[in-house]
Order: sequence, then C-alpha cells, then structure tokens
Amino acid sequence: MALQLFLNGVILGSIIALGAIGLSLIYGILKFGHFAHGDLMTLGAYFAFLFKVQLGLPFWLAFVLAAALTAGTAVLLNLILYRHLKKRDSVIVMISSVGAALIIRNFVLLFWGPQNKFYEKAIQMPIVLGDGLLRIKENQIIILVLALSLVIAVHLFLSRTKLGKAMRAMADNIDLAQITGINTERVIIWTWAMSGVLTAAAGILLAFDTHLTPVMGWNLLLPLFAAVILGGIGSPYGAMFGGLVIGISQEMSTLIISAAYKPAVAFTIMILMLIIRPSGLMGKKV
Amino acid sequence: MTFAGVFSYLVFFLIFVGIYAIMTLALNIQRGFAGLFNIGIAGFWAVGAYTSAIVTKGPTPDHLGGFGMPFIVGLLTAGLVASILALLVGIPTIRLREDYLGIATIGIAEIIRLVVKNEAWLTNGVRGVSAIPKPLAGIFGSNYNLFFLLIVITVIVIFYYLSEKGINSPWGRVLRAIREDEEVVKAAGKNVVRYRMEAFILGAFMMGVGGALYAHFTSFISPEAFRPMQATFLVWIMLIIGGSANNFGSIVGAFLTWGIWTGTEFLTGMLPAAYTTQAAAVRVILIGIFLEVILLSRPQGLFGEKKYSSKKTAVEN
Amino acid sequence: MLSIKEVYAGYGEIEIIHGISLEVNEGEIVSIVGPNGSGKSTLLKSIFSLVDIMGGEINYLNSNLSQVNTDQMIKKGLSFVPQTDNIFPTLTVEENLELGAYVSKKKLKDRFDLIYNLFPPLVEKRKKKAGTLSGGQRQMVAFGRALVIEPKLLLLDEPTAGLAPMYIDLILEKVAEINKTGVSILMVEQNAKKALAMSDRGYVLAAGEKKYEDSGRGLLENEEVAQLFLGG
Repeated sequence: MALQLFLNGVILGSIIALGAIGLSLIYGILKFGHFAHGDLMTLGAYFAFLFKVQLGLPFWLAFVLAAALTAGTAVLLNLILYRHLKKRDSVIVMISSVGAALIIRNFVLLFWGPQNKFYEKAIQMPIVLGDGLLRIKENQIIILVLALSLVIAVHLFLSRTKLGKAMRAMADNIDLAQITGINTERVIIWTWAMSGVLTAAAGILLAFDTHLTPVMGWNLLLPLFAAVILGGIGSPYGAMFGGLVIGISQEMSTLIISAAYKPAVAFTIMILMLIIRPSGLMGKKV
Repeated sequence: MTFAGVFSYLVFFLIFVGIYAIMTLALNIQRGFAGLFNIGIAGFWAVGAYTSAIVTKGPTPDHLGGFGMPFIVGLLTAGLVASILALLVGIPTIRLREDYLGIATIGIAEIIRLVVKNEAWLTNGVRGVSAIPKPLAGIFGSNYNLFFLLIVITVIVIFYYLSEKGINSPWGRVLRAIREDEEVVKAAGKNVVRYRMEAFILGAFMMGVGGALYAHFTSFISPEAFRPMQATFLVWIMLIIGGSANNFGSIVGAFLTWGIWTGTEFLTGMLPAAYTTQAAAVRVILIGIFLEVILLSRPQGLFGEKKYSSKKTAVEN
Repeated sequence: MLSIKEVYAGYGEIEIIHGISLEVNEGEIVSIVGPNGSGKSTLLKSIFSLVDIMGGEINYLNSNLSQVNTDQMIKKGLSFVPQTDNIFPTLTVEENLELGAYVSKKKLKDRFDLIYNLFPPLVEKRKKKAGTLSGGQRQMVAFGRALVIEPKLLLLDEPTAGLAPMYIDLILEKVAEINKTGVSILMVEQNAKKALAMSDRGYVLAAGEKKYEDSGRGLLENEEVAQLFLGG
C-alpha cells in the first residue's frame, strides 16, 4: 500500500516539479510570485486537447504545439502586463497575475466547458507487479519517462549552455548580471518562454494521468508554491527536489489523514519551511 | 416594473454593496495602510459567516450549534474567530516578504474551504447551513430588508469612523511611516512586524463581521454558495478602483464595482439558459481585463491615496 | 582613457555627487578616497550607469558612455568589481569566471589559467559553489570574473572591505600585480593610506565634491589631507 502511494507520489511529484522549475526561476529573477502559473498549466493541457482530440494530430505534435503556444502566452503576459507593473510595488504585479489567472481559467471554461475531458477514450488496464504489490498504468510509465527526460534536458540547458548559466546568474544576482553584460531583457523573455514550455508539459502530463478540468492547474498552485519555497526561491534544482517531496508527501499522507485534505499537506510543509528556514533547502539567504 | 419593485431591488443591491464595502474597508487597512497582500479574503468571509451561523442558531442535528446567541454576539464572535485565524496565518509569514503572506492566505482560504466542505459535523458539509436567524425578523415583516440595510450602514459607519481615527492616531502614523520607509522606522526602534500584524488582525476582524452579516442576510450558506476567487478578486478591484489607502474611495469603489458586476449579470441574464456557464465565464474575463486595464492606466484609482495630515511624524513621536 | 567631466549623479531626486571631474590615464593606478558618505561609490557606479546621472559627461576611449550599452562597454575593456554582492553564489567558481567571458564569442579558457595563477587558492575550489567560499576567496572570484575579459580599465569599489587583515594586503598586492600587466586601475578605497601609497594619482572626496587632487605620494604627505581624512 505504502509503496503504491509512493509511486503515485513520484508521478504527482514529477508533474509538480516540472511546473515549479519555471515558477522558481521567475520568482528568483523577477522577484514576484506568479499566481497565474497554475492556470498556464491548464492552458497547456487544453491546447494539447485541442490539437490531439479535436484536430486529430499525433500526440507528439500536439505536445509541441501546445508547449509553444503556452510559451507564447507567458511571454505575452510579461510583455503586456508584468513588465510594466514590475516598476511599481510587488503587490500590484501579483494582483495582476491573480487577474491573469482568472482570465485564463475562465477562457478555458468558456471554450471547452466545465465537464471533465480526456485525451483518450479507452481505459487502460494497469500492469500488476510483484503479485499485486504495485500497479502501474502504461500512461504513468510514459509520464515518468517524459518527466525525467525533460528534467535532464533542463539540467543540461542550465548547466551547459550560455543562456542557461545566464538565467541562473540572474536568479542569483540580477545587478551583477547586468554588470557582466548579460542582456537581462532577453534572458527574461527566454525565462518566460521556458517556464511556459515546462508548465505546459506538466499540465499535459497531469491530464494524461487523470483528466482535464478548468481548475486543474489552479488546484496545484499551492503545491507549486510549496515546492518552490521548499527548494529555495530561484533554485530550479531546489524546485525539482521540492516538487518530488511535496508529491510524495501528499500521496503518502493519505495513510494518516483523509484524502480530502491532501492540499493541506503542501500548505503545512510550506508553513513549516517558512518558520524554520525561509530561504529553503537550496536557495540563497532571504 | 413597479416603483416598489425597483425600490426593493435597490435595497437588496445596496445591502450587497454595503457588505462588500465592509470587506473593502477591511482590505484597505491591510493593504492600503499596511501594504499587506491578502488574497484569501474569501476564507475570512467564510469563517465569519459560519461562525455567526453556528453561534446564533438553535439546536439542530445537522451541525454544531444550539448556542442560540443573539445577533450581536454572533457578529462579534465571527470577528474574533477571524482575528484568531489572522494571527495564526500572520505569525510565520508577516515577518517575511509580502508574497509569502499572499501564498499563505490562498492556502488558508483553501483549507477553510476543505474544512467547511468535509467536516459535516461542524458545518453540514455541502448541504450548507440554513435558517440562519435574521435579527428582529418578526417585527419588520415585509420592510425587513430596509431594516437590515440600516444595520449594514451602521456597521459601515462604525468601521469607517474607527478606521479614520486609527489612521490619524499615533499608531496609524507609524503604519504610514512603515509604508514610506521601513528602514527608518526600524532604526527608530519600532517593531515593524507587530504593527503590520495588528493591521492584519484588525482587517480580519472586519472581514469576519462582514461575513457574518452576509450569512444573516442570505439566511443560507454553503461551500458552493460563492466562488472564493471571484469574491476575493472583486474586493481587490473595489479597493484599487476607489484608490488604495482611501476609506471613502473604498466605499465608492465597492458601489461602482458591484454595480458593474450586477450590470453584466443583467445583460447575460437575457441570454438563453443554455449559455449560463459561458456567460458567467465571459463576465469574469471582462472584469479581469477591466482590472488589468485599470492597473496599467490608472493604478491610483479614482481618488488616489488620501493625504492624511501629520502634525508630527511617527519617528518624532 | 577615462574622463569624467562635471558629473552630477545620485538616486532619484537625491543628488549625491555635485559636479566632479576626474581622469584616468593609461597604465595608471588612481585611487578615490574620502570619508563615508562622500560619494566615492556613487561616482564609480555612475560610470556603469548604475545610478541616475543628472548632469555632466563620462567618456571612455573617446566614447560618451551614456550612449553605450553595458555589453559594449565591457567589450571595450571596461570592467567593474562591486563592493558587495559581487559574485554569483550558487554558481561554481569556474562558472563565475565563465560569466566574465559572457560578452565574448570565445570561451577564453586560457584566461582562466592566468587567473588561477594570480589566485592559487581558487584552483582547488573551482568546482565549488562560490557562495561557500570565505570572504577573501570570494573577493578573488569577484576579481577573477572581472579579469577574464582582459580589461583595459578595472574599476574596484572598496576591494578590501570586510576582509581579514591578511587578505587586505594580499588583495592590494594583487591589484599592483594586475596593473603591471597593463591594466589601468581606478579604485575606491577605505584604507586610504595603503591605497594612496601604491597609486600614481589620487582624488580626495568629501560631501560629494572633489576636495584634493594630486599624486599618491603628494596626498599622503599633504598635512591637511592627513588630518582631515586619513586619520592622522
């Protein structure tokens, strides 16, 4: 039982991790909490639905197109809203992201309706391992493989490429980044684009694992923030780790408390972190 | 459309404006004066509503209750419980950055929603709490709403007065100084966190009372009754439109925003029933875009920040 | 190579520097000294447009810097080591150096060897996160990052600030060494005596204005300067 929950937790954790990487970088570089991040996840999932189910394109193409469109949306949000509002106080830019979240969520509600949607009609039979000890669906294996591949890709990008290092540098110290000649405006745009791609992927994988609903991303916003804070704001690797911890904790918590209170687990971990070590496990000092 | 009908609707409309005005005045203390970022308003609203309902109802098998307290006790208890909640949320977060409080308030609003939905012994779960007593219902009969409107207006006047007094007091001056330059106030030896916490709790108290008034007016509350993010967001729009740190602006902002919001409801109400969910979605999108436009073009709102007189600065105090 | 003419600068509405003129010639070490709050750091930051410039002109190699982007300035050989927060703490020492080469198309790996020769303690720490190093070692990383691009003029903002005594002399020795390789130095320093002793020329600032200007030795021997600013 516990092993099954652990596995479920790893799957959920991978999804949260993917969404949290972009959120953490934006937080680190632009110094504000992007409250529309969950709804970008939803948008990505629904774009993929549009391309795969409604337009009949192959899954990989739907994935790529959805990621691109979500990246574009993220860049657009920054261009129209956040870039201008950043200059005022941080509360203004955060409330505008709450507004953006509501707009995106209701946009999805408007065009696709409130009922649950699925990428595939057939129900998959789980593969049973170890005499009933563990059940895993084919989809879930694919999710784990995809999530791992993306995480490795992100790692390679951040550690081997010039742009990736510039992003990490900006999350560390934006003033110094400017002094070294980094084109901060451009790197910020690329950060939004990358966040859009990763969060779309997270949304698609989530929908793949369960189903689509207009509030799917919003419901994960608290776990996303918890993962970011746990790992340390501005640390993409911290976000990956934080995501896994939150996912596993949420799923395994059902051994002790009712499943209805799963979101409370993320919240509790986050509050504990804020009390004990606000800078997170891998972040800079707050 | 008789005159009586219009008048009756107007009273109904104004009661809602009033309740939202109380919420906005409360948020003004938290955000306008203390610079805090509370996006869990719906949580404090719900706590106030349920507390007052539970405290004032007679015994019932559906949920915790049977205290049968008078209306005023209900209101005050609601405010008190909301204040305690604010204290708990504020302790780990107010000493840190303002966005941490934002996330924490979203979290607490969500947890409250979960508790209300799942702890049926306390709240009757999704079936909601009904037959919440209306104070002095028997006496006023058909003119009851008008009487309730007077109650709401009284509460607004009290809160407005207290808020204005507060902001012009030495306490208020320190708060304003913190918004100007936190470091200077810290250097003067003032405990910045304590002042912010006090503002947060004060605002929460008011939100609890507002929630209680809502419960007693609608007489029935349930976890599905209102959309938490929408309500929270509407209050923020009201605050920003009126002008942050401006109590008069808060009230005007509530009036205007609620007017626009119900206005759009009228328009979409004329559509066929099949379009209800879509219509609701469009309304939210429009009000969302409305806020973004205001933030971009006139963030100071209609009235801007009110210049409060300061014969002595807080630091000189 | 660098000429600051009648510059007024500050933050927002607050003017900190009131019409200062200053020059650095090729190959020189020039020090800016003065009491706290005299505007030394602000003057240095104004070269990189990190503060608001309200008047005057700053020219480097005959280009007006207000017309030039930061990456252009760096490509032309202008490099800056800030006083605080001057490294990327979660990046490794090596990655910090790589960022020094950001504006260049080449990786400049050969420059790294030079820097490791200049600061040997960094060699064994190259894969460690810069934030885990001691104060003195972090300063070395900050220097290293600024030197990778082979600057012609190096701006240093209080390079010995907050360092243990043994590191102060070490860093100033390194500054002299770097200068011998042909890099001009403009530094703001709290340790006025030591700085002036090694400088070709110096400027003494007070309350945002230039009070004295002379050779390094000249300022050291100037009695008024000694009394007022160098602490006797």
